[in-house]
Amino acid sequence: MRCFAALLVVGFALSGVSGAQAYHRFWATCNEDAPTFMTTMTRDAAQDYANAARYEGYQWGGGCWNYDDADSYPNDPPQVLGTHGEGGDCSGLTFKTWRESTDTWRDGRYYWRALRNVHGPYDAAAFRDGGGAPNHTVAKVTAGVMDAFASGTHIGMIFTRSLYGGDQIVEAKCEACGTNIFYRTYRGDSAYGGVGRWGWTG
Amino acid sequence: MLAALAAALAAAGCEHAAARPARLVDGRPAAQFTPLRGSVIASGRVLTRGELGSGLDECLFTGDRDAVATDAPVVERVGVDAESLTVASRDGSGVYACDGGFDPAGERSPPWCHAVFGVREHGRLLDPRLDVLCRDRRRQPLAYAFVEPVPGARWIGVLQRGYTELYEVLAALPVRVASTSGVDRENARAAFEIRQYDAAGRELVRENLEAAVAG
Amino acid sequence: MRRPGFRSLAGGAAGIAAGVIGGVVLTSVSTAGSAALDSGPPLIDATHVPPALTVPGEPVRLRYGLICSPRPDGGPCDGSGTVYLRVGDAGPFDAYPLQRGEESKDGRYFLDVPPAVSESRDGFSYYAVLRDHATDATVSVPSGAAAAPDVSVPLHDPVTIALGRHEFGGVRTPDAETVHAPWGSGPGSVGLASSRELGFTGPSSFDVEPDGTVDVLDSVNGRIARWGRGGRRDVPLGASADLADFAAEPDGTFDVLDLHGTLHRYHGDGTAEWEQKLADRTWAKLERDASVLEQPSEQWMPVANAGSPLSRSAQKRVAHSAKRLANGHGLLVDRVGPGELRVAELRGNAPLRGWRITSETPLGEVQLAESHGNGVIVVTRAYVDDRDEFVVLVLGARGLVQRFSVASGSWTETAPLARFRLARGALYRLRTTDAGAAVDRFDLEVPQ
Repeated sequence: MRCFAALLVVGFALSGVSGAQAYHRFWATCNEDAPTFMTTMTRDAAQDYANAARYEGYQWGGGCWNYDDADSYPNDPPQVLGTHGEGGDCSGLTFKTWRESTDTWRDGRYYWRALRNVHGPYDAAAFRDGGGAPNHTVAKVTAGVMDAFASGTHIGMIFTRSLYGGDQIVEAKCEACGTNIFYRTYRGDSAYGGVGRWGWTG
Repeated sequence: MLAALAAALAAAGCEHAAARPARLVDGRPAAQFTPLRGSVIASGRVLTRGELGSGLDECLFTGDRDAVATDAPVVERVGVDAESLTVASRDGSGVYACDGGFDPAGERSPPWCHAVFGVREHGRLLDPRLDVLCRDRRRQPLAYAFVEPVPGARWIGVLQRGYTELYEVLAALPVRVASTSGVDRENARAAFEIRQYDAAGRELVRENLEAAVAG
Repeated sequence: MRRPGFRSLAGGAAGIAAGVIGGVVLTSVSTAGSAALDSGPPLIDATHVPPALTVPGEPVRLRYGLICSPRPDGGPCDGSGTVYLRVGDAGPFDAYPLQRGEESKDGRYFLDVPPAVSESRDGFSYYAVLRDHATDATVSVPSGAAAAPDVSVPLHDPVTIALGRHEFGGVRTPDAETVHAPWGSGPGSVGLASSRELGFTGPSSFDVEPDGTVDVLDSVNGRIARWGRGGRRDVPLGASADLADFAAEPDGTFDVLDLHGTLHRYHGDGTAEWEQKLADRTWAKLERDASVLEQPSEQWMPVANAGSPLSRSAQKRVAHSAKRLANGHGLLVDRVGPGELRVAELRGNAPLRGWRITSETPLGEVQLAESHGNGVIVVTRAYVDDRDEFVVLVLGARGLVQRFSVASGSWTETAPLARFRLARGALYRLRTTDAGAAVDRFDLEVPQ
């Protein structure tokens, strides 16, 4: 199988295929640049990063985005694999915002540029369980800016608390919803747990 | 070009297929399904949550424990490199799986490394819920995914290196399969070569399941 | 190195062939995008939670977060700000520079309000302007700045209510199930959709009209399901309304606030009358008369006046911190810390009466706060890690008149603060299960 797969790749190379087709869509404009290792990571810098992803769209399993304030491929059919549109999904947005490594045992800070197409190994349930070296569970009552609330199927980061006791959550919500800051009541909902990122420096 | 081709062949380690494993991950002898040469049957049995004891609770998120009925049928599977539990939620909205293995971050003790929940619509999962967080006993990347059996399917086969690992369809639940090949850890993706067989071993489906960590 | 065997070579050749064929159909590795694409127009936003209700002697620190375009070095904004502050709600403002702190968890920029201001019996009003030095962009919080500043009102002699530790499990059974509909798309049903992204979605909001008509926003089927005296009648809206909020206006029109922050006004037959974008970026709740609780201003912003939409700039200017009550008074709500809720009824910005409610169990959001009889009804949520319930509190002049718990579980997600409505002296709740959707009624005691 490995042999077959390896030669499959060789075959692609031999075919000399070039150029983007509809299948790859926005992902054709993204890259696989290495992240930048950083020694600092403040909560408000993370707010900046997540805020800039607003209006860039939503992509299941994504992803990457380009800061033009528009979803390049809105209204993709949500149940179709491989639409490869613009934006992250909820766990992908959190992974990039929290500057995490694709290696779950590393808890360092890795800055991913917006156009770098990466999702990370964690789904919402993994974040909720505090899985991976960078993540840990936090008490919901004390969860603060750029901590997150996660259920088995969704995660959103706290942008800020709100007057009526809910929270403004920055989240990649769904294809039709996009990525934005929404008022949510996840804090009081027992389906959600509190999640934090180790290593904030301010 | 020929040199490059040879190098690719060598790099891929193209050689004779690996031998069929003799044992499952828990040490039990690995049974073969006679109609399928080189197959290994991953053990599978159906228990109630109560019969399982605390096994499910050790894996599930605290807030999810009440979502599973105490008499819910739980499918326990033990394969060559992996083990899992699968159970439906009380309200039928989805299916939980506990995936076994080693946690490379060292935060969870075996047997359970991660738990997933897959939403079901009209009895069918909307996503295979790929999990690439776990490692096998050799600390190699392990990928788990759900496979929905087609009507008439009795066995789900996953092509591994040199053998086909067979999972029995049980309790009308999607089948949690695992593999150590085809795992792209860097991009959180995996590809599974899937076969579905009827009770007599006739192949019903042949597909390549490509899954990504998402949601 | 071992020589590859025949079988491997054959498999390899097959691999090459498949690859060539596949490559013709499928794109290979994409060409990398230019790094220059990850820059865009300068962004600026701010966060602030106003200390709406204070108690005497409590120091007041105003905290702000500044959000700007991500910096290439990954650091936070280089910014500054000024708070414009005055005693009471009239007169000129005095400028105070914000200090910049080392931590940003509660807002990096802060001002300790001078005691002469914070302890004034008239309270104080204020607004802030923050600036990003990298781009020179500025933002005001609240959006209306001096025209509609934030207010902070002191609670003098509030009625104190200690809820103690919440006992889970004793939820009240509804007094009536006023309407019920199974899942489906046909007449008599309400739509249910499922997706891997959202799980299950269904009716996201509802309202109860003065004559008892129950309106459920059938978000999936894009209609309003109405149960009145003549039975059920559906009003098609022509578009789905996922996670939208809803209000039925007294003149027979309907308001739907979509998740992208646009308010849609419909005629009674479901035809569109007008639509208007909200002034602020985030909304929490839609009330009748097209009034919306919005963030980051944390104010109620009227989106319409006399039936006509207001421009975004006009919305900002007429925003107000207190929710308007039917009797012309205002209601200020402030969820403080993990387990405290402060409520005050105001005439203008002067408190008429207030309540200070404390709980040993953490409190979540305030789903509803309304005048009721001669008092106020509040619905909030008590939660611990693995349980949560709604808590209904009827507040009277001398304390707690009534208290009961309501189950909080929901099969589908709704608009965030749309689970309850107060109408005809009773509390109504939207409930969804695997069997369908229902609206329940809980009768209430009336504060004298």
